[in-house]
Amino acid sequence: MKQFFAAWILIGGLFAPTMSRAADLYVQIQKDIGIGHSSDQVNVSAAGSLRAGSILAIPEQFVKLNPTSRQIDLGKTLAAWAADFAPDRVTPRSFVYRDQTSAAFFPVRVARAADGSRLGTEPVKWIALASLAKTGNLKIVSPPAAPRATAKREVPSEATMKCVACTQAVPGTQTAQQDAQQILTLLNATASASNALPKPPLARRGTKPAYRRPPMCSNIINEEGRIGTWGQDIAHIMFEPRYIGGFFKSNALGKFCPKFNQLSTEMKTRAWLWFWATLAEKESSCDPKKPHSTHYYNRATRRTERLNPTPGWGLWAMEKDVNLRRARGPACYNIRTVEGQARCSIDIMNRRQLRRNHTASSDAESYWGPVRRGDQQIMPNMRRFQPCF
Amino acid sequence: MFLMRMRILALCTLLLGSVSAFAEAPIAHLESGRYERTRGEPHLCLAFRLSAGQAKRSRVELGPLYSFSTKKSVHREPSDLHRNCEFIETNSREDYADKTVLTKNNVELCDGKAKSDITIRLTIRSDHLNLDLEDEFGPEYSCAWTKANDIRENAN
Repeated sequence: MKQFFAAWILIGGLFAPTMSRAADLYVQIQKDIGIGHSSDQVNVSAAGSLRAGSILAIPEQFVKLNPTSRQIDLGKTLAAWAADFAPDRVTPRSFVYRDQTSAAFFPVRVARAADGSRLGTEPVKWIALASLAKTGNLKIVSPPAAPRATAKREVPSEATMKCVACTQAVPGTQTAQQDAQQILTLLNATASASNALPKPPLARRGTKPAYRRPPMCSNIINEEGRIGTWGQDIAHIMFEPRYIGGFFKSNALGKFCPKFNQLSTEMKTRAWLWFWATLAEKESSCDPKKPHSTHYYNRATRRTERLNPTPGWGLWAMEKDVNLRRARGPACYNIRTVEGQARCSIDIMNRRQLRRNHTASSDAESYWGPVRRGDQQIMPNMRRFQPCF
Repeated sequence: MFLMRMRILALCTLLLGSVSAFAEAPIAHLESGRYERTRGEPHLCLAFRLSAGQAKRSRVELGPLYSFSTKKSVHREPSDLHRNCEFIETNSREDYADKTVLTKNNVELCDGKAKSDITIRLTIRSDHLNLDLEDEFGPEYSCAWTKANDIRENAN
């Protein structure tokens, strides 16, 4: 962690307008770096990557340059950085992102995206600092061409600066994805009225003793329909352009949610998260570090029998062997984190079922045994999600 | 000038021939279509459909559980889950007059010791596939599939 805090990026100007602004240093990133999406200034969730070639503006006073090698050392400690800015400014947050155990995310100003476009006015990204601090990932460049005189440079208001998500305009983003991200932002805002749940509660309560899901499943979505941190990761991935068409297509959940088409995008999201939580409960009791054995004890036959061809791992029983996962595609390369496991699962669902004009429920060739045995293992819990039935 | 062109043409032919020689030949006995289980446990020997394109690619997928490379290869990857572990996959292929055999061995090594060692052998004959899996404790199970008759193909 120390190395993460030892090298960081400051925001000049944008977040401290009263500071005298030193000349910006423009650096071009050489490798894709992770970016985050702030939902409520408390949590930053992974949103994708900033492509190599993008240019960042860093106030020069916060950067040390080795005069001989011209290597960039992002100086000051986190404490010193924080001391320079008022507490109500956007501050760096820690977040588990991809394969980083604890990546620090810092807001930066993107002067120019990799495709040459400017990302709106004063675009802000949360940058995974560890990626940025990699040797050779920053190259000093000339300032990008000044904007045309007719283009109006807008100074972001306090409200805009606080709503980091609002300024995160990604070039070429489809309207559907923008809408979906804004919905997700609203869903997860702790004070948002949009997250107020309809009465009665989403989960139907039966006459039997209260059904209790494993507590960890609430990290995806809880019994009241409130989305957890894992659920935010899952939703973000489903909203990506490559997946959104499949996961929000007509009748995507099939018999697991017959009223899917009648639901709002917000409720469709919750329905999918309810499904993923149900599946994770069946596969692993919602434990992202659960090993999946190749054998099980069959009480009926009193024998140990083969359950799976190869050992599995995690929430949705991905293959433990990275070579086996490599054959499924890059989305499954790394399942060390919940986000990695979610990405792999979503990709498998998309490739094997949704893109083949099947629904989540209709496939005898599904990767997951509980889905193939959907009537017995998935439907009972899906029926508890009232908006679907 | 003519001689120069002929030399260039000969060189191109030689290069293309070399490239095609390295390209993996599709599996002659593998036919596209729906394959139904004829032997083995249902949850381990799922029925599947093989598309025409897939039958000719460098990787054969038999439903969600099994996939085989049609090329001889070795892959060594560090584990993304445990620092002291790595995974090694070895793929081989044997072609015979009436069948092709694809073998895949997957080993997990932790601190140099094998934690798991699984070998899956797929024997491909016309209309008929056999799969045998064995692990570090010996043979475990087998599956067999037969290509189902497609009603549309046989409609007369």
